[in-house]
Amino acid sequence: MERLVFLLIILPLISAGIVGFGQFGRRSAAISIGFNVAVFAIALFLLAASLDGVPNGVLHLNPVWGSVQFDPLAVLMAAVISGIGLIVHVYSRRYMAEESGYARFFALLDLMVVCLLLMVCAADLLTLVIAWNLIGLVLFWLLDHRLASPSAYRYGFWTFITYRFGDLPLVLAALILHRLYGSWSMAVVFAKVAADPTMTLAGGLPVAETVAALVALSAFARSAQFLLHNWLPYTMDGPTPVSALMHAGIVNAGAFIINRFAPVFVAAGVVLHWVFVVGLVTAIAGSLLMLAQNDIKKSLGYSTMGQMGFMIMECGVGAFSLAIFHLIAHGLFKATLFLSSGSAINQARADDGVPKSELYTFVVERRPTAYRQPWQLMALITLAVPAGILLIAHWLVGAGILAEQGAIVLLFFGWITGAQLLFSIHRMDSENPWRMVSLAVISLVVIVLGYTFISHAFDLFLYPDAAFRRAIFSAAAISPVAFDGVVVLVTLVIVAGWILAYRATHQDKESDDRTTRSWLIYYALISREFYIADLYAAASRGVLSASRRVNLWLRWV
Amino acid sequence: MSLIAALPAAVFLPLFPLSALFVLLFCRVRDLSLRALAILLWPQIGLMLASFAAPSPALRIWALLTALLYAWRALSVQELDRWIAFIAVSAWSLLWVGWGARYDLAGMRLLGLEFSLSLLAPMLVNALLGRRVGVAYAGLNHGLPDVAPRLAGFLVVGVLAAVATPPFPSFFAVLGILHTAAPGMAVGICAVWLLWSWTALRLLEGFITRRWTLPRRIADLERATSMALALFFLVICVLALGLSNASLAAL
Repeated sequence: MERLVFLLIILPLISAGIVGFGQFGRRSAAISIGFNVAVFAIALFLLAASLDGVPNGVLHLNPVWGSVQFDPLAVLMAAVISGIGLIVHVYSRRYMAEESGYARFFALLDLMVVCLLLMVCAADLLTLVIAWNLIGLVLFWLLDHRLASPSAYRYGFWTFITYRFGDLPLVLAALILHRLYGSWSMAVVFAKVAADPTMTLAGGLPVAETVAALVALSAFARSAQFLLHNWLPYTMDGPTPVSALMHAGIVNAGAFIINRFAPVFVAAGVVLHWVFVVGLVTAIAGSLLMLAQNDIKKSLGYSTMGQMGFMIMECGVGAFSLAIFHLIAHGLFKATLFLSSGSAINQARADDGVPKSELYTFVVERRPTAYRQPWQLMALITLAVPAGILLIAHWLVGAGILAEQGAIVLLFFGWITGAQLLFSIHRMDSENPWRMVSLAVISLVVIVLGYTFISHAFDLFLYPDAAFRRAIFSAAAISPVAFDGVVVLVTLVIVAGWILAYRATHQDKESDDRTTRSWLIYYALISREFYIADLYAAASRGVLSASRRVNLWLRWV
Repeated sequence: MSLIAALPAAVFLPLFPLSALFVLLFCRVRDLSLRALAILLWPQIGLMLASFAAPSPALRIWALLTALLYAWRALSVQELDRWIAFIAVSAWSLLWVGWGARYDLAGMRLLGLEFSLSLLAPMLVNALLGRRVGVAYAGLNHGLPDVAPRLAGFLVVGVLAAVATPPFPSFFAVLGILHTAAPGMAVGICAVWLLWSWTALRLLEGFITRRWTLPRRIADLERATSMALALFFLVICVLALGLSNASLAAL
């Protein structure tokens, strides 16, 4: 099986070589797609073999580094990458037809697939670091495909620098592990970390926490977490297929790397709490910033940022396999959204009339509905039904689910989301409101049951050892008192939000004038994206002008 | 090693302000073979001179500051040959930092060679570009892919090879140095590495973006030259694999 993993990586590399150095013109796409079909077929075969219980294995291609492995996480991710890669290849065949550098584009797409597959299948730290580095480089080339465009270059540069910033902590983590345990093999160093999780570095720093923090920092840069997110919404000047590949695949690497280093994170609970907080802040910031966008692609960019926040948050509560399921689900729907965004833009150019759906009428025009159910009844249904669905779903997959803090946090978020969905539906115009609510409840049941069962299946597949699964959740747990405090605080914040939203639509003229100014300040803040990009730009301009001055003073020697 | 004893070595393993000698020499000498010789031999001579005693902590800090200074100064450089000289100084001064208990002179020489091989790549492209446009100056020759796509491609790869991008040899050299460095020093080396990336992309922006506006169009690389350059890049990647095995196995 390990030889097949090697074949999986080498095939797109051969394709990149043939397409990049050959003179095939328009036939480049067909060659590239042919190779990618083979890659996807091999990936599916490997996934089936892993599901069938074929044992894990490692293939060493070089004495020091350059080894690949066959394990559940690697084959699952390989199937996702090759699948999304194939979709993007097929889509690009016609989409890029009128662009210059057609063959170069397909060669770069193939190279990107190689790097991603090498990353997920790497069995040693050095190979992982090299693949992690190369992804940023190839992505920069892809984003800068339209060479003449200064804006495409500028935003590609933002991406490259953020990625390089994220590469460095992973390099340091790998070197720390090698320095202490004398091996580049991930299996060996993880086993040694598990054997002595309390080991410290020369300066007294705990090894597990230090390495986990460095890996988390790498994951934050790769998955566009708050303060390292600026590159994501702006990388829209590159070709649409690249945006799709980036938002559907590359940006998800944060969850993958945390899962890959799971044995280290199990011994570093404090870092998981930090991961949770960063994910939460990112989810909120991404969702807020999405509200203020008037560009469909940028809006999708911030949507991705919010989703990445949730994904990292899932890692923070110990739901590692759920994060993998989340990245796959998000990858598939975000790729579809991006690949459809071009036609949506064209449609909007042809007809700028906004569709007057019921949802639009409710959200934008806020027309009062003719007939409504009593709000007390609806509130009761709103709060009780989602809670019931979620609890039953989780009880079906594991009766002890409520013993896990992480599961409670995710249930809580699911309940809030379901409640808001139901409550907003009852406000909409409908001839038969009960039918509407029933449909919403059925949809919610399908989604929750699907999500719960599939994520549970992922859990069993990726982490077959029940003790290890419990250990991940335990590592992410906090003291019961602190946990209860957090739950109460979050509840109060959400209720306050509901009250604020209610008052915004039911206030008199005087208080309306009072709050308008606050809303304007708030809007200015989110429409300027918290001024973070401006701050970075000012800082880089300062560094550059100081560099020029020093060079003049030193006569350029 | 005292600062006085380190002076001769500090010319060849450049420490500021003696580093100015190499920059001056490299920018004055235009002959490609002499430049290549300088790139290959300069750090080796420095290592030989420095091998008489281990560098003191103060000297290591000074070397790291030199590396940071030249990486930062390279941000505003637009001439390709001067940029190569600055990156060379920045990279070679890191050899002082990596001089630890884990490496003997042979190991350090491997690291020096890894840096030099990677610097040869942009130097060759610089010579080819210089022959066509007089001086490879970012911002003056923008839109290069319009007229010379092959040359532009090699320029991008060559510049990235110099700034420790995998799988080029300098990447493994930086890894080797980071491996032996103390935590504080490692953070400094990472800052140098990040600055290198920034400088590379800033420099390339002046060649790659926008449209070619000069009245005279230049000839792209001939097929034979392209093949030779591609082979050269392939060879240094293969060498990187061999050298990395040797230098990383020594850790």
